[in-house]
Amino acid sequence: MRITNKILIKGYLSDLTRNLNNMQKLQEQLSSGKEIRRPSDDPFKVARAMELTSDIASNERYTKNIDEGIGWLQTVESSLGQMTEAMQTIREKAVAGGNGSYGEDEKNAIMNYLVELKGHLVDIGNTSFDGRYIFGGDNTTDTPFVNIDGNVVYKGSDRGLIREFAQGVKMDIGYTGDNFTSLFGNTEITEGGISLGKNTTIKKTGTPINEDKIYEVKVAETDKTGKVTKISIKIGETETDFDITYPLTETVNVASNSVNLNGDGDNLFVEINGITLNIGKDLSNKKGDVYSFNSETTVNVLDKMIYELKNGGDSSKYLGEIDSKFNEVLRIRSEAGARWQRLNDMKAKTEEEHFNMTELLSKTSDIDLAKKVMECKIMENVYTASLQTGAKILQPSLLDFIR
Amino acid sequence: MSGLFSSFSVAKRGMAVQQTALHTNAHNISNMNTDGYSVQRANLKTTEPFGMPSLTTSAEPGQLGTGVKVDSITRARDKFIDFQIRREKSTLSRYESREQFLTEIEAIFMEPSDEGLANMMTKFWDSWHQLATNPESSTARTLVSENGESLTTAIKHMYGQLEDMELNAGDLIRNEVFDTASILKQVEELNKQIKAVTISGRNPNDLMDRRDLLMDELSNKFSFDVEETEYNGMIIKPKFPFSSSLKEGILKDGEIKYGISYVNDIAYGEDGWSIQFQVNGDINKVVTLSGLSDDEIKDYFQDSNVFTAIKEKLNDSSLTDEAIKSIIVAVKSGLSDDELETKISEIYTGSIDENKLDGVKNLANSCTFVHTAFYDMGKYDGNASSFSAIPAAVENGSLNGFQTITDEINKYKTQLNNLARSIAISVNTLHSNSIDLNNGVNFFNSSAETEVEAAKFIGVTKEIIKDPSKINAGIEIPSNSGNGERALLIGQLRNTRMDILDINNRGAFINNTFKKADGSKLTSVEVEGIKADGTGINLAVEDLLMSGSQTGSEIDSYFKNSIAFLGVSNQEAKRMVGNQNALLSQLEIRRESVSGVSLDEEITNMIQFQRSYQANAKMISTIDQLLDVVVNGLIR
Repeated sequence: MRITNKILIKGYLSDLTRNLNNMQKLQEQLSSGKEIRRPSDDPFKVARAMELTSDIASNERYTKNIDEGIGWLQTVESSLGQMTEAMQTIREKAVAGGNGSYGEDEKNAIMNYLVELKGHLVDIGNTSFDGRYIFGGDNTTDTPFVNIDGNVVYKGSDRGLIREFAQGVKMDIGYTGDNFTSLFGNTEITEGGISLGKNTTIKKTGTPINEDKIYEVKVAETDKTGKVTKISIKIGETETDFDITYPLTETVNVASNSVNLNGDGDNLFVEINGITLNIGKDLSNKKGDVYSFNSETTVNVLDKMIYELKNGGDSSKYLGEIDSKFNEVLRIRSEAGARWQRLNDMKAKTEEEHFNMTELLSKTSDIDLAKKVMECKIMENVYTASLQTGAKILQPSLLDFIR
Repeated sequence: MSGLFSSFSVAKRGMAVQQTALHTNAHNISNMNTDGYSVQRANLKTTEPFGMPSLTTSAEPGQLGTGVKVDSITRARDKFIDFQIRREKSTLSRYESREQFLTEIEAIFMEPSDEGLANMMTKFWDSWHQLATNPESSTARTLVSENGESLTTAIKHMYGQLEDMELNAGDLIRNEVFDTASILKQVEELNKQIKAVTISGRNPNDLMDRRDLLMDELSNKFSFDVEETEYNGMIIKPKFPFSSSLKEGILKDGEIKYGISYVNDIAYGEDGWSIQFQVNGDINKVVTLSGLSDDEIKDYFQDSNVFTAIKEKLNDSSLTDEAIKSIIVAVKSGLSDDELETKISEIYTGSIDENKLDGVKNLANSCTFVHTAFYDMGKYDGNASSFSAIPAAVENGSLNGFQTITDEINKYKTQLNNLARSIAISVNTLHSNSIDLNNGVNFFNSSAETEVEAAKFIGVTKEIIKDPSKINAGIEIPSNSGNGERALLIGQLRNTRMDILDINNRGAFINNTFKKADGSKLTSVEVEGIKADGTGINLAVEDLLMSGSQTGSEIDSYFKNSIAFLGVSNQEAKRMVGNQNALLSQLEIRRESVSGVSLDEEITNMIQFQRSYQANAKMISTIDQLLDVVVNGLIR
């Protein structure tokens, strides 16, 4: 092949450029510490790195959620522990109150103690974590249990707190009044009606009721404007429907209880056993909404015992009821403990995952420093050699040798 | 027998010829660094010998030579190498122009980095998760709104940059068209000169070198075949991947048959299509044709990305390109949905529902047009009425490179639009709890859900920015302060698969992503029912389940795939540039080996001719001595 001077120069230049390109790439990798800087460096690795980065970010979120969940459940657990102790004391006092040899003074002392314990139970129910009430369901900002004239009223909600602790793994870490049906009553009784919204379970507290009956008022029909036109009242096992025409003032009889109905179209008051409900239009009731009264709560039982002791009676006859409530608390407590344990297991798993993914990300996108430094050194040598070659071989031509 | 004077003239001729050879030598050396120059050689030949043996001449042994002459001066050139170089150059410059832009697009997307869109999305979804955990916190709400803002700003910014880049690519095509036109003009002129010189029986070496150089430059613009005609004439035939009526070539000998022009704009108005050309890529020479029919315009739409996507959308690979072109033209001419459905059903046999139609509309709207066209130079007299153009989707070369880049930028724009639209629709549906655009509080502007260019319109609503407490975190609206289930549902969108291309409205989103609690799919009647209800939908977990679509992809993955595709594109471009450069430098070395000027060789030749010159001179002086013998020696 015929070789001209230009061929030498061109070849030399293109090799030199290639060397410099390689050097530049290596230096970029060395200075950034990253194997890949842009998608075209290695599309697969870049996609993988992006995926890992976003997975790591969501993993970190789950770790935070778990940490918070653990803290939350710890608080729940310790509150329930206190509650267990309180119940234990209530039980002891109930037994003591059954001691036939105790006189009025002793029984009064026990009664006062029980009143204090009732307050203590409410205080425990109002425990908060990080400024949020733990037993209020998803209503975390309002004090869940309020003592109004001796009636313990639940102001929280019946919805729990749904949290995600791993992709697709949702857990309810909330504790609502419902969980404590057995503990607290939850009705705020105000003059002229009940100020809570629809679908709230309303439980009567306060004066002891000897009948263990549940009262239920159900909206059976409404007209287009939202007025209630038919209600269904259930006491015990008996359920009766009543058509409503406004205006209305009527006393009806359900299972030999008299129920007063009063309505002016905007409001409909239902009074059973001294408790008045307003299930009127303002509350935007819908067909199927239910209000119920329950007389079977711990506070009720406590109230019953206090009532009994006040009248010189025997508080120990409620031991069975107290025990069942006690067991209820233990059950909830063990459930909280189990959830706490589950979160701890998840935490370990999430941390393990985090570690693995971080390592994988590092393997995907970070450089092997020693290897790169070596490669860079080799490249530098090659470059120096090519420069020297250029300086030597490109110099001479025939011109240098003729006169 | 020859005379002394005859020998004189042989030597004289010899000197003159050596001098000519030295002259060529000098021409070579002085042009050794001239681009496109091929080394020239003076071909020496003996002159016609004296005295053919015949009856009238005295027979002598052999013929008597009469000296030397320069028969021709030829250039050393290998046409086959030229052909190869041009072919590879076209490919190289296609990929070079692609690489240049793809690298810029990579810089726009900034992946993988903390500033990239992927990270913004991660932060955005994460802030919803955080809100789900701390629904009471106003900081968490502000963070959601802030992260939403920075996500949408990033999307808008990237979209704007892509738009600028598209304009930029258009300008570059115009420049290339301008260059091409000027090269063609020069070739036309050169051809005339070459022909004249050739006809007069000489070799137009330098002119042909210049023409070859121009052809090399032209091969940077697009691929073409060259056919030789008599007297060193030529025909240039551009290569088209699509059928074309330019079979007879755009340039023949000294005449440009078809000039090139830049297609600046295609628009549809009341009186049909109009198209604006910039003749020869000159912004001052604008020709606008208007009132064109669908058939006349459809060849301008040849975006193979869109063709493939429409085929996929309609799930029919047997659709011809012609059919798809007419669908695109139909969509672009702004037909109503019903008309469009009729139109498509003429071509396409499968069933077409609202989602398919919306998808096809989006795709067709994103189709770019071919930016170059050849026009009939002979007919054109400066008036629009005489202007007839053929769209030129040329093969390879920078013209093709920039054209495919325009298509590709459009593809990324469409993907960004799809991304923005699906984010806006999904977040808004869940956040406002309504299928009605104007019901409830929207998190993103509802225009991002309806506009074709969603990425341009997306933004957090003013209402939310002003008062982040309006963000609905709870499952009920309004909800208890500690309820974060709605925020959680929105946060879970991150891991929800959806058929992003199908999500063109809220109904489609619900249809695609939600199932009934028993796992069965919602019927379209039920979705319609939710729509008609208007009071809002209960997206609470009991009624509907956000289970995602089996065939879809997560929003993050959709973007990740775009980036991976970009990476593959640019990797291919880079690899091709590398390969082509290596190949081309090999070919150029071969060309240099044939046509290049070698200094050593020239110097050697120089010495050779110099010596010959000296020898001839010596011959003259010797003959002079002989004459001296005759003149002064014989006559005493």
